Amino acid sequence: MEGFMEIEARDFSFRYSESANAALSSLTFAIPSGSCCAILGPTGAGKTTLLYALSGALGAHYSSGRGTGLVRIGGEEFNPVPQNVLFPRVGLALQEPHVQISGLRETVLEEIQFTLENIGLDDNLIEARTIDILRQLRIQHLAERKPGTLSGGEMQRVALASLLVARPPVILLDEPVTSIDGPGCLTLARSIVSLKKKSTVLFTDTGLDLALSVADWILVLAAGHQMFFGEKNSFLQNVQSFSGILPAHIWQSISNKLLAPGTDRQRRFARALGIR
Amino acid sequence: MFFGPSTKFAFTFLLGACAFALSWQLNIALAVFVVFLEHRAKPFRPRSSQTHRAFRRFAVQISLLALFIVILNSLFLRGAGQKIGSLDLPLYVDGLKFGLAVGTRVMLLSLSILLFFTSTSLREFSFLLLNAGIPTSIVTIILLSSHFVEQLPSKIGQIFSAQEARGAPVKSKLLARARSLFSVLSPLVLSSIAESVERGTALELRGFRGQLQIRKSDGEKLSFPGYVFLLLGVLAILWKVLWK
Amino acid sequence: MQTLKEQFKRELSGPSLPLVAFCVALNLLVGQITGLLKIPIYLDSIGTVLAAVLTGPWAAVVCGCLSNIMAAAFGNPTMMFFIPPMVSIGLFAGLIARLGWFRKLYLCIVGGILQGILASVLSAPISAQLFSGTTMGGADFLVIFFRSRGFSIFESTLLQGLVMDPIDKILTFVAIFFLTKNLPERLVTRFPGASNIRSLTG
Repeated sequence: MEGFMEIEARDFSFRYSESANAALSSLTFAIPSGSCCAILGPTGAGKTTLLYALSGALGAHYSSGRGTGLVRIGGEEFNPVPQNVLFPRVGLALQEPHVQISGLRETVLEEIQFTLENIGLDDNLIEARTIDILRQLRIQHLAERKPGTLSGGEMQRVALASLLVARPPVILLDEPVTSIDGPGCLTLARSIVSLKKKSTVLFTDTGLDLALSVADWILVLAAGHQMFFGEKNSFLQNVQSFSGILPAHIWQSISNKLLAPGTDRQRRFARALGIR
Repeated sequence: MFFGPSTKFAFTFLLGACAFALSWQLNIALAVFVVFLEHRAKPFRPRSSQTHRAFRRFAVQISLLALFIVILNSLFLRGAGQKIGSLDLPLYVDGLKFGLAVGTRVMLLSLSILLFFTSTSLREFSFLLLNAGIPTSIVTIILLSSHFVEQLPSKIGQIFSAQEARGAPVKSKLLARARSLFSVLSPLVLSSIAESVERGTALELRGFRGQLQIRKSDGEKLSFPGYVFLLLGVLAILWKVLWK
Repeated sequence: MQTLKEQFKRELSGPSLPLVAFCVALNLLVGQITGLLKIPIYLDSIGTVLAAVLTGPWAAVVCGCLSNIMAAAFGNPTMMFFIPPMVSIGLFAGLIARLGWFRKLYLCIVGGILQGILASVLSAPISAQLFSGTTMGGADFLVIFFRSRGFSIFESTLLQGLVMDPIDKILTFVAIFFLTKNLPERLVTRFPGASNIRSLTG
């Protein structure tokens, strides 16, 4: 299933039934198809809740919660959220990679193929796509390993592979760089750049490197409220206003190294990715 | 496959039927035969050196248990009152015969079941069940639980160490240790329940709707020897029930 | 009134599947925990009771059966013979969970006693027929004691069970009471047995 899908929210709010405060409050944004949006914010900002809402998991499993507003994915409107998991149209990679390993397959290769078996592809296509994704994420050497023996970083890449192999038009990644080292980050960034050509990508992050490298749009949340939504350059021009919201180490990183365009670090990263 | 999982299952059934139908002498012979198969027969080769060691360990344990059953029954089951041998030991012939029948039966039954599982992976067993029409949810649980059995021991060890570092009386007197059981179980159960919720969602997010797909390479039909084993097993049971 | 098939499907879908799988693993591994702490109790049906409380009786029956089958796969095939008592634990615990017994500690204790009696009645014939009441475990001394007093194999095995099983089941049920008492509501409501342990609001 391939093709672009745009994502839009209009005055979207959500409150869990057992909570007095809204988890998400009046979010309004529109992410064009074939672009990448980074969702930034401190812990508890509602980043994961937003991804769950867009994937359909929130509507499917928290039906007692109260949602208002509207969400539109690929032209289909939901009032306010999808009530069923939208896979394979929308793919969500969870924060903890070890829970994404199904445990139902003996090797990494079979684990990745499990996704395609679920969506009913035939054996030849399953094999071809699996080989392709292993190559893309540079994890061919892990194919015959048992998933339970992988390191945190390896597991994260395998979990990502098992999602991306289905080629969903919308890809949601919840803190994809948490367990990944430097070279792994670069591989991930390259993958996102190439994924943007075929899908719409949203990811959450507590750091800023990946966001500034690959994202076209930035959405900043704090305590469920939308603090900013716009293009990356516009974010950088207004970044002073987020000093109280973003974690201190991110603010430090921005103010020391990345505020002035053309800094060495930014140039090196862009060169490594092959983007301007 | 000539001697695939379903044929091995049929063979196990036959051995189990023999355990109930045959005499203790034949049961001992078959038990030795089972041990021989585990050592030498290719279809029954253990999956790993770990399972081979587990089989050997169990074979010793069950032999000792069988011996214990024989001695216990010889001591307490007096029957006609005839003692064993010329020495005036309190061991009785009827008890000995009964003990031998019970002991060798449980030995053969247990060893044949273990032979099946040491030579068949859980995955092969799962597909055997799927082919037999067992619901997918049950097969999924088998596969998932074997995954957890591999992963949880290290988690348990970590929780135990963490609780010990917090001052839980894990090496104190019995009552204190019993109380600290809760301090180990509680975080394990809570984190696992939370993880179950996430795992359930994660499976759904990968398109799993409760139906495990069987690919052509996973299926396996019962071979001709398998049908023969099943038939012989049924006949053995009928013979025991109707004629013996 | 749901059909059996509908109940089965309800209890074994979504997060209940991985939960029951965890409960099977817990039954198999609880011995590791009691071994680390060096305490002489089994609790080898604790996972079955947890599944009964959080999902329902049928999921608990599946959990119990699979625990015993998988014990065979992991090197202890004699557990397979004790599937009937495990089935009774799943059904009984599931039934009393639906009646709300796991919300009150004293009812958990009563339930443990009743379950212990039921389990010993069901396991005695199996143990007597197949093992002459012995397992080379610590409780064998009780069987030997009763047999030396003139009781038959079955009677000795039953009496041993009636002494040991209620203690083990009381400890199991009470452990589950405390383990489920403070579970966050957001977690509990994801399972079909939520109302077994909580009066849910909203």
